[in-house]
Amino acid sequence: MAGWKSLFPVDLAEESRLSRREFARFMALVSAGFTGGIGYLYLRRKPLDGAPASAGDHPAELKVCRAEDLALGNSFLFTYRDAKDRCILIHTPKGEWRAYRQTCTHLGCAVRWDGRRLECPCHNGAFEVELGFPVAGPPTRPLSRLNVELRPDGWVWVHGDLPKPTLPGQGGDA
Amino acid sequence: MVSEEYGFFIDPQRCIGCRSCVASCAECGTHRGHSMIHLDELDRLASTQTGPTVCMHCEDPICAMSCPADAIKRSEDGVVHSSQKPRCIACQNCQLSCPFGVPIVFPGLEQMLKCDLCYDRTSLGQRPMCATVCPSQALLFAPRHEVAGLRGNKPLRTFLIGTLVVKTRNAIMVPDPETPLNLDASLLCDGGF
Repeated sequence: MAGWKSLFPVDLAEESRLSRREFARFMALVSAGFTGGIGYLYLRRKPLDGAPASAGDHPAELKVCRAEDLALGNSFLFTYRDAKDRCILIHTPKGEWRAYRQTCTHLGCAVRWDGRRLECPCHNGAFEVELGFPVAGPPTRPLSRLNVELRPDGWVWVHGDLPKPTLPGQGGDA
Repeated sequence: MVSEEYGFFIDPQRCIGCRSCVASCAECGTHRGHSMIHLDELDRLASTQTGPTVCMHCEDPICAMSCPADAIKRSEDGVVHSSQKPRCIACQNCQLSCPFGVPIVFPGLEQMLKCDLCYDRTSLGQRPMCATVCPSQALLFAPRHEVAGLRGNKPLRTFLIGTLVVKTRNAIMVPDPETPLNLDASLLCDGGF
């Protein structure tokens, strides 16, 4: 018998290779598998194989630079969690220290310090430096912020898990 | 499921041309108004002989083989069924390919219907409608072992169409079952006319 004929058998008994019940069972098992897999990943919450080993853990605090190396009104780029987690340390003209993740909250371009505020060159977004809130352009959410600490030994340290800043009075430590 | 013990035996010699089978087939509730049985006058000028044609239910159904839409199926008891309505495309391949000329594509239905041995009746143990009404029992549905005692003719289930051998579930009663009937239409063209 020709090969194609076995796919279209004459006999009724050989015809239904996949019944409605079998199809429903297959779909239910696949759905259950996906649900269970997502649940397992949620409970595991570790980087999967293939991700860099350092993806899940990061130093609780990081020594960035010496305070005297960063003059008033300048910025310093560093990476926090891994090589791709680019952040920016700013010594504001007022003499305060701020650190933000460089990722613009609009479409993810790297923001830069223009001496007055943080601006994103892609779509002319801008963030004020005090709390990282957007003040111009398309971004609507504030930049992720790190806590900056000036230690007595003259080094600037940052720490924190990049929380979303909150306005004073709304709670939180900002 | 139709019992394997029962066979359908067609005896053209007993046919009296009353057309009861045609009428009863058309009255069946499952295909009301459409008769699946052909009743032919064999040689109208010379004879009153008629012959009924119902489906022979081939072991290798040529209609199903030629169906491009996979619409014709055979159940496990060997009965070849009418085309499945969702699949049939009314292409008439089956009508042209059947060596016995059984399938009919009805223009109004756009579907092929054929004799399915009255599956609604025979699967419940009843006889096909035509066999119940045939007054001369030219169409006989009976246990296979009883036929030899009922008839002088013998059942024939092997036919020749050119070089193709066709084996069927139903039988035609012939005096000499050892010689296969050759149904090659080209023989008629050469010497018959």
